[in-house]
Amino acid sequence: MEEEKNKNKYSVIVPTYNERLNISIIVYLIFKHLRDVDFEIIVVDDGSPDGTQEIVKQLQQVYGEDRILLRPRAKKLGLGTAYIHGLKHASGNFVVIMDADLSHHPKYLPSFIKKQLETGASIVTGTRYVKGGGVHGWNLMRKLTSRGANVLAQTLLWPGVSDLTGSFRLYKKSVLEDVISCCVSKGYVFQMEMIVRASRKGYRIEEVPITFVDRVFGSSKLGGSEIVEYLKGLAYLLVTT
Amino acid sequence: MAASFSTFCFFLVEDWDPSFDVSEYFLIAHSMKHVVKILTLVVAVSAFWVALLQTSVIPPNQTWLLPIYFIVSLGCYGLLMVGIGVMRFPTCPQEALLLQQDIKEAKEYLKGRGIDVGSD
Repeated sequence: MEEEKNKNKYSVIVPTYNERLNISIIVYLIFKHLRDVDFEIIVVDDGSPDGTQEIVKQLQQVYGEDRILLRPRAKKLGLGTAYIHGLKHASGNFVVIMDADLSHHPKYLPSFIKKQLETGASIVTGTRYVKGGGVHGWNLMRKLTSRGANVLAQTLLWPGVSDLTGSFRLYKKSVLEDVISCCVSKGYVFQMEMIVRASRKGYRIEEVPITFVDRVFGSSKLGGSEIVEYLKGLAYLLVTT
Repeated sequence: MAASFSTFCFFLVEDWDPSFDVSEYFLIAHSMKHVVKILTLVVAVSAFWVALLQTSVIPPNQTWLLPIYFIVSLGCYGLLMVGIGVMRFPTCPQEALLLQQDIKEAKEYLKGRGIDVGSD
Protein backbone atom coordinates (compact mmCIF):
# COMPACT_ATOMS: atom_id res chain seq x y z
CA MET A 1 0.00 0.00 0.00
CA GLU A 2 2.75 2.32 0.99
CA GLU A 3 4.70 1.36 -2.08
CA GLU A 4 1.85 2.43 -4.39
CA LYS A 5 2.56 6.00 -3.37
CA ASN A 6 6.27 5.51 -3.84
CA LYS A 7 7.26 7.40 -6.98
CA ASN A 8 10.97 7.06 -6.36
CA LYS A 9 13.35 5.12 -8.55
CA TYR A 10 16.10 3.05 -7.00
CA SER A 11 19.37 2.23 -8.75
CA VAL A 12 21.06 -0.80 -7.24
CA ILE A 13 24.80 -0.71 -7.93
CA VAL A 14 26.54 -4.08 -7.66
CA PRO A 15 30.30 -4.18 -8.31
CA THR A 16 31.43 -7.65 -9.43
CA TYR A 17 34.60 -9.58 -10.00
CA ASN A 18 34.27 -13.31 -10.77
CA GLU A 19 30.70 -13.61 -9.50
CA ARG A 20 29.04 -15.46 -12.41
CA LEU A 21 26.83 -17.63 -10.19
CA ASN A 22 26.23 -15.10 -7.40
CA ILE A 23 25.18 -12.27 -9.73
CA SER A 24 22.34 -14.30 -11.23
CA ILE A 25 21.11 -15.32 -7.76
CA ILE A 26 21.33 -11.70 -6.55
CA VAL A 27 19.34 -10.49 -9.57
CA TYR A 28 16.68 -13.17 -9.05
CA LEU A 29 16.36 -12.28 -5.36
CA ILE A 30 16.19 -8.52 -6.02
CA PHE A 31 13.33 -9.04 -8.48
CA LYS A 32 11.65 -11.39 -6.00
CA HIS A 33 11.78 -8.94 -3.09
CA LEU A 34 11.23 -5.60 -4.87
CA ARG A 35 7.88 -6.15 -6.56
CA ASP A 36 6.08 -2.82 -6.52
CA VAL A 37 9.10 -0.56 -6.72
CA ASP A 38 10.66 1.13 -9.74
CA PHE A 39 14.28 0.06 -9.84
CA GLU A 40 17.24 -0.81 -12.04
CA ILE A 41 20.30 -2.95 -11.35
CA ILE A 42 23.66 -1.61 -12.47
CA VAL A 43 26.37 -4.26 -12.64
CA VAL A 44 29.86 -2.79 -12.68
CA ASP A 45 32.09 -5.68 -13.70
CA ASP A 46 35.85 -5.26 -13.56
CA GLY A 47 36.72 -7.50 -16.50
CA SER A 48 36.02 -10.83 -14.74
CA PRO A 49 37.73 -13.70 -16.56
CA ASP A 50 35.04 -16.19 -15.44
CA GLY A 51 32.36 -14.89 -17.82
CA THR A 52 30.32 -12.83 -15.36
CA GLN A 53 29.45 -10.44 -18.18
CA GLU A 54 28.02 -13.23 -20.39
CA ILE A 55 25.73 -14.25 -17.54
CA VAL A 56 24.61 -10.65 -17.07
CA LYS A 57 23.76 -10.48 -20.79
CA GLN A 58 21.68 -13.65 -20.43
CA LEU A 59 19.92 -12.07 -17.45
CA GLN A 60 19.20 -8.98 -19.57
CA GLN A 61 17.39 -11.25 -22.06
CA VAL A 62 15.14 -12.52 -19.25
CA TYR A 63 14.53 -9.34 -17.25
CA GLY A 64 15.08 -6.61 -19.86
CA GLU A 65 18.01 -4.38 -20.74
CA ASP A 66 16.31 -1.42 -19.13
CA ARG A 67 16.16 -3.20 -15.76
CA ILE A 68 19.68 -4.65 -15.75
CA LEU A 69 22.46 -2.41 -16.94
CA LEU A 70 25.90 -3.84 -17.61
CA ARG A 71 28.53 -1.15 -17.26
CA PRO A 72 31.87 -3.00 -17.33
CA ARG A 73 35.37 -1.68 -16.87
CA ALA A 74 38.50 -3.07 -18.45
CA LYS A 75 40.27 -4.25 -15.31
CA LYS A 76 40.13 -4.36 -11.53
CA LEU A 77 40.14 -0.72 -10.46
CA GLY A 78 38.85 -0.76 -6.89
CA LEU A 79 35.53 -0.42 -5.10
CA GLY A 80 35.32 3.35 -4.67
CA THR A 81 35.74 4.08 -8.37
CA ALA A 82 33.30 1.26 -9.18
CA TYR A 83 30.60 3.15 -7.25
CA ILE A 84 31.48 6.39 -9.05
CA HIS A 85 31.35 4.56 -12.39
CA GLY A 86 27.96 3.01 -11.60
CA LEU A 87 26.66 6.32 -10.28
CA LYS A 88 27.32 8.00 -13.65
CA HIS A 89 24.85 5.59 -15.26
CA ALA A 90 22.22 5.65 -12.50
CA SER A 91 18.84 7.10 -13.48
CA GLY A 92 17.16 6.69 -10.07
CA ASN A 93 16.88 9.40 -7.40
CA PHE A 94 18.05 6.84 -4.85
CA VAL A 95 21.06 4.54 -5.03
CA VAL A 96 21.56 1.25 -3.20
CA ILE A 97 25.03 -0.19 -2.86
CA MET A 98 25.51 -3.86 -2.09
CA ASP A 99 28.10 -6.61 -2.42
CA ALA A 100 27.66 -9.35 -5.01
CA ASP A 101 28.92 -12.23 -2.88
CA LEU A 102 25.50 -12.87 -1.24
CA SER A 103 26.69 -11.65 2.15
CA HIS A 104 24.10 -8.89 1.62
CA HIS A 105 20.66 -10.41 1.13
CA PRO A 106 18.21 -8.53 -1.14
CA LYS A 107 15.34 -9.42 1.21
CA TYR A 108 16.39 -6.45 3.35
CA LEU A 109 15.88 -3.94 0.51
CA PRO A 110 12.20 -3.30 1.39
CA SER A 111 13.15 -2.41 4.98
CA PHE A 112 15.78 0.08 3.70
CA ILE A 113 13.17 1.70 1.44
CA LYS A 114 10.51 1.71 4.15
CA LYS A 115 12.87 3.28 6.67
CA GLN A 116 13.84 6.00 4.19
CA LEU A 117 10.18 6.77 3.38
CA GLU A 118 9.26 6.91 7.07
CA THR A 119 12.13 9.13 8.18
CA GLY A 120 13.15 11.05 5.06
CA ALA A 121 16.75 10.12 5.85
CA SER A 122 19.52 10.87 3.35
CA ILE A 123 21.26 7.59 4.09
CA VAL A 124 19.95 4.29 5.43
CA THR A 125 22.77 1.98 6.44
CA GLY A 126 22.56 -1.70 7.28
CA THR A 127 23.91 -2.63 10.70
CA ARG A 128 24.95 -6.08 11.90
CA TYR A 129 25.38 -5.11 15.52
CA VAL A 130 21.80 -4.55 16.73
CA LYS A 131 18.87 -6.78 17.61
CA GLY A 132 17.56 -8.46 14.49
CA GLY A 133 20.94 -8.22 12.81
CA GLY A 134 23.91 -10.55 13.03
CA VAL A 135 26.83 -12.28 11.43
CA HIS A 136 27.36 -15.90 10.44
CA GLY A 137 30.64 -17.59 9.62
CA TRP A 138 33.06 -15.55 11.73
CA ASN A 139 35.49 -17.17 14.13
CA LEU A 140 36.41 -15.75 17.53
CA MET A 141 39.44 -13.86 16.18
CA ARG A 142 37.34 -12.16 13.52
CA LYS A 143 34.71 -11.17 16.08
CA LEU A 144 37.41 -9.85 18.40
CA THR A 145 39.07 -7.64 15.77
CA SER A 146 35.70 -6.43 14.56
CA ARG A 147 34.65 -5.44 18.08
CA GLY A 148 38.01 -3.89 18.90
CA ALA A 149 37.93 -1.83 15.72
CA ASN A 150 34.38 -0.75 16.46
CA VAL A 151 35.02 0.30 20.07
CA LEU A 152 38.10 2.26 18.97
CA ALA A 153 36.22 4.06 16.21
CA GLN A 154 33.19 4.77 18.41
CA THR A 155 35.40 6.19 21.19
CA LEU A 156 37.53 8.35 18.91
CA LEU A 157 35.12 9.47 16.18
CA TRP A 158 31.64 9.60 17.82
CA PRO A 159 30.05 8.84 14.44
CA GLY A 160 26.49 8.22 15.65
CA VAL A 161 26.29 5.01 13.60
CA SER A 162 26.73 1.54 15.10
CA ASP A 163 28.18 -0.27 12.08
CA LEU A 164 30.85 1.82 10.36
CA THR A 165 32.42 -0.69 8.01
CA GLY A 166 29.30 -2.27 6.56
CA SER A 167 28.67 -1.50 2.91
CA PHE A 168 24.98 -2.34 2.46
CA ARG A 169 23.48 1.14 2.21
CA LEU A 170 20.80 3.24 0.56
CA TYR A 171 21.68 6.83 -0.39
CA LYS A 172 19.86 9.77 -1.88
CA LYS A 173 21.67 10.02 -5.21
CA SER A 174 22.73 13.64 -4.69
CA VAL A 175 24.07 12.80 -1.23
CA LEU A 176 26.14 9.90 -2.50
CA GLU A 177 27.58 12.11 -5.25
CA ASP A 178 28.45 14.77 -2.71
CA VAL A 179 30.01 12.43 -0.14
CA ILE A 180 31.89 10.16 -2.53
CA SER A 181 33.63 13.11 -4.17
CA CYS A 182 35.55 13.87 -0.95
CA CYS A 183 36.51 10.28 -0.06
CA VAL A 184 40.00 9.04 -0.80
CA SER A 185 40.42 5.87 1.33
CA LYS A 186 40.31 2.25 0.22
CA GLY A 187 38.82 -0.99 1.55
CA TYR A 188 37.19 -1.01 4.98
CA VAL A 189 38.31 2.54 5.66
CA PHE A 190 36.46 3.74 2.54
CA GLN A 191 33.10 2.61 3.97
CA MET A 192 33.95 4.26 7.28
CA GLU A 193 35.06 7.50 5.61
CA MET A 194 31.82 7.70 3.61
CA ILE A 195 29.58 7.42 6.65
CA VAL A 196 31.71 9.65 8.92
CA ARG A 197 31.92 12.43 6.30
CA ALA A 198 28.19 12.17 5.66
CA SER A 199 27.56 12.42 9.40
CA ARG A 200 29.83 15.49 9.73
CA LYS A 201 28.10 17.16 6.79
CA GLY A 202 24.89 16.90 8.79
CA TYR A 203 23.05 14.41 6.61
CA ARG A 204 20.42 12.39 8.42
CA ILE A 205 21.48 8.75 8.75
CA GLU A 206 19.16 5.93 9.83
CA GLU A 207 19.95 2.28 10.46
CA VAL A 208 18.18 -0.99 9.73
CA PRO A 209 19.28 -4.41 11.03
CA ILE A 210 20.78 -6.78 8.47
CA THR A 211 22.33 -10.21 8.71
CA PHE A 212 25.67 -10.96 7.14
CA VAL A 213 26.40 -14.52 6.02
CA ASP A 214 30.07 -15.03 5.24
CA ARG A 215 30.20 -17.99 2.87
CA VAL A 216 33.71 -17.66 1.53
CA PHE A 217 36.12 -18.87 4.15
CA GLY A 218 39.25 -16.80 4.40
CA SER A 219 37.78 -13.85 2.52
CA SER A 220 37.33 -11.93 5.73
CA LYS A 221 40.64 -12.83 7.33
CA LEU A 222 42.21 -9.78 8.85
CA GLY A 223 46.00 -9.66 8.80
CA GLY A 224 48.42 -7.31 10.50
CA SER A 225 48.62 -5.04 7.48
CA GLU A 226 44.83 -4.56 7.43
CA ILE A 227 44.93 -3.56 11.08
CA VAL A 228 47.70 -1.02 10.38
CA GLU A 229 45.70 0.35 7.43
CA TYR A 230 42.64 0.62 9.66
CA LEU A 231 44.53 2.55 12.35
CA LYS A 232 46.00 4.89 9.72
CA GLY A 233 42.50 5.43 8.36
CA LEU A 234 41.21 6.23 11.83
CA ALA A 235 43.99 8.80 12.38
CA TYR A 236 43.29 10.27 8.94
CA LEU A 237 39.60 10.69 9.76
CA LEU A 238 40.43 12.23 13.14
CA VAL A 239 42.40 15.08 11.59
CA THR A 240 40.35 15.62 8.41
CA THR A 241 36.74 15.39 9.54
CA MET B 1 51.64 17.60 26.23
CA ALA B 2 53.44 20.69 24.89
CA ALA B 3 53.43 19.25 21.37
CA SER B 4 49.73 18.43 21.46
CA PHE B 5 48.96 21.85 22.86
CA SER B 6 50.76 23.61 20.01
CA THR B 7 48.81 21.45 17.53
CA PHE B 8 45.68 22.52 19.31
CA CYS B 9 46.61 26.21 18.94
CA PHE B 10 47.42 25.67 15.26
CA PHE B 11 43.96 24.27 14.60
CA LEU B 12 42.38 27.10 16.55
CA VAL B 13 44.21 29.66 14.42
CA GLU B 14 43.22 27.83 11.25
CA ASP B 15 39.55 27.93 12.23
CA TRP B 16 39.70 31.43 13.67
CA ASP B 17 37.14 33.87 12.37
CA PRO B 18 37.67 37.56 13.30
CA SER B 19 33.96 38.42 12.89
CA PHE B 20 33.15 36.13 15.80
CA ASP B 21 29.92 36.49 17.71
CA VAL B 22 28.13 34.12 20.04
CA SER B 23 25.53 32.96 17.50
CA GLU B 24 28.34 31.79 15.24
CA TYR B 25 29.87 29.71 17.99
CA PHE B 26 27.97 26.57 17.04
CA LEU B 27 28.88 26.97 13.38
CA ILE B 28 32.54 27.15 14.30
CA ALA B 29 32.19 24.21 16.65
CA HIS B 30 30.63 22.32 13.77
CA SER B 31 33.53 23.10 11.44
CA MET B 32 36.11 22.10 14.06
CA LYS B 33 38.11 19.05 13.09
CA HIS B 34 37.33 16.14 15.31
CA VAL B 35 40.85 15.92 16.72
CA VAL B 36 40.43 19.51 17.97
CA LYS B 37 37.26 18.58 19.84
CA ILE B 38 39.09 15.73 21.55
CA LEU B 39 42.11 17.91 22.35
CA THR B 40 39.79 20.57 23.76
CA LEU B 41 38.41 17.95 26.10
CA VAL B 42 41.93 16.85 27.07
CA VAL B 43 42.97 20.45 27.76
CA ALA B 44 39.83 21.10 29.82
CA VAL B 45 40.40 17.99 31.93
CA SER B 46 44.10 18.84 32.34
CA ALA B 47 43.20 22.37 33.45
CA PHE B 48 40.85 20.93 36.04
CA TRP B 49 43.62 18.63 37.24
CA VAL B 50 46.14 21.49 37.50
CA ALA B 51 43.54 23.49 39.44
CA LEU B 52 43.15 20.56 41.84
CA LEU B 53 46.94 20.43 42.28
CA GLN B 54 47.11 24.19 42.96
CA THR B 55 44.23 24.40 45.43
CA SER B 56 45.09 21.16 47.28
CA VAL B 57 41.41 20.30 47.87
CA ILE B 58 42.53 16.70 48.06
CA PRO B 59 46.09 15.74 49.13
CA PRO B 60 48.53 16.52 46.26
CA ASN B 61 50.21 13.10 46.43
CA GLN B 62 46.82 11.61 45.45
CA THR B 63 46.13 14.27 42.84
CA TRP B 64 49.39 13.31 41.10
CA LEU B 65 48.03 9.79 40.58
CA LEU B 66 44.73 10.89 39.01
CA PRO B 67 45.98 10.81 35.37
CA ILE B 68 47.17 7.23 35.92
CA TYR B 69 43.77 6.25 37.32
CA PHE B 70 42.17 7.96 34.33
CA ILE B 71 44.27 6.07 31.77
CA VAL B 72 43.79 2.76 33.56
CA SER B 73 40.01 3.23 33.72
CA LEU B 74 39.96 4.20 30.04
CA GLY B 75 41.77 0.95 29.24
CA CYS B 76 39.37 -1.04 31.42
CA TYR B 77 36.41 0.60 29.68
CA GLY B 78 37.82 -0.41 26.29
CA LEU B 79 38.52 -4.01 27.32
CA LEU B 80 35.11 -4.30 28.97
CA MET B 81 33.31 -3.00 25.86
CA VAL B 82 35.25 -5.37 23.59
CA GLY B 83 34.60 -8.28 25.99
CA ILE B 84 30.88 -7.63 26.26
CA GLY B 85 30.73 -7.08 22.50
CA VAL B 86 32.37 -10.41 21.71
CA MET B 87 30.26 -12.32 24.26
CA ARG B 88 27.01 -10.82 22.99
CA PHE B 89 28.00 -10.82 19.33
CA PRO B 90 24.76 -11.28 17.38
CA THR B 91 24.93 -14.38 15.21
CA CYS B 92 22.45 -15.81 12.72
CA PRO B 93 23.09 -19.49 11.88
CA GLN B 94 19.50 -19.89 10.63
CA GLU B 95 20.20 -17.25 7.97
CA ALA B 96 22.84 -19.48 6.38
CA LEU B 97 20.23 -22.22 5.94
CA LEU B 98 17.64 -19.80 4.54
CA LEU B 99 20.24 -18.54 2.09
CA GLN B 100 20.93 -22.09 0.88
CA GLN B 101 17.19 -22.50 0.20
CA ASP B 102 17.09 -19.19 -1.66
CA ILE B 103 20.07 -20.22 -3.78
CA LYS B 104 18.39 -23.51 -4.67
CA GLU B 105 15.15 -21.76 -5.56
CA ALA B 106 16.98 -19.16 -7.68
CA LYS B 107 18.99 -21.83 -9.51
CA GLU B 108 15.86 -23.78 -10.44
CA TYR B 109 14.10 -20.68 -11.74
CA LEU B 110 17.13 -19.44 -13.69
CA LYS B 111 17.85 -22.86 -15.19
CA GLY B 112 14.27 -22.88 -16.50
CA ARG B 113 14.96 -19.53 -18.20
CA GLY B 114 18.06 -20.84 -19.93
CA ILE B 115 20.63 -19.11 -17.77
CA ASP B 116 23.85 -20.99 -17.14
CA VAL B 117 24.00 -21.65 -13.38
CA GLY B 118 26.00 -24.86 -13.65
CA SER B 119 29.37 -23.92 -12.24
CA ASP B 120 30.44 -21.56 -9.52
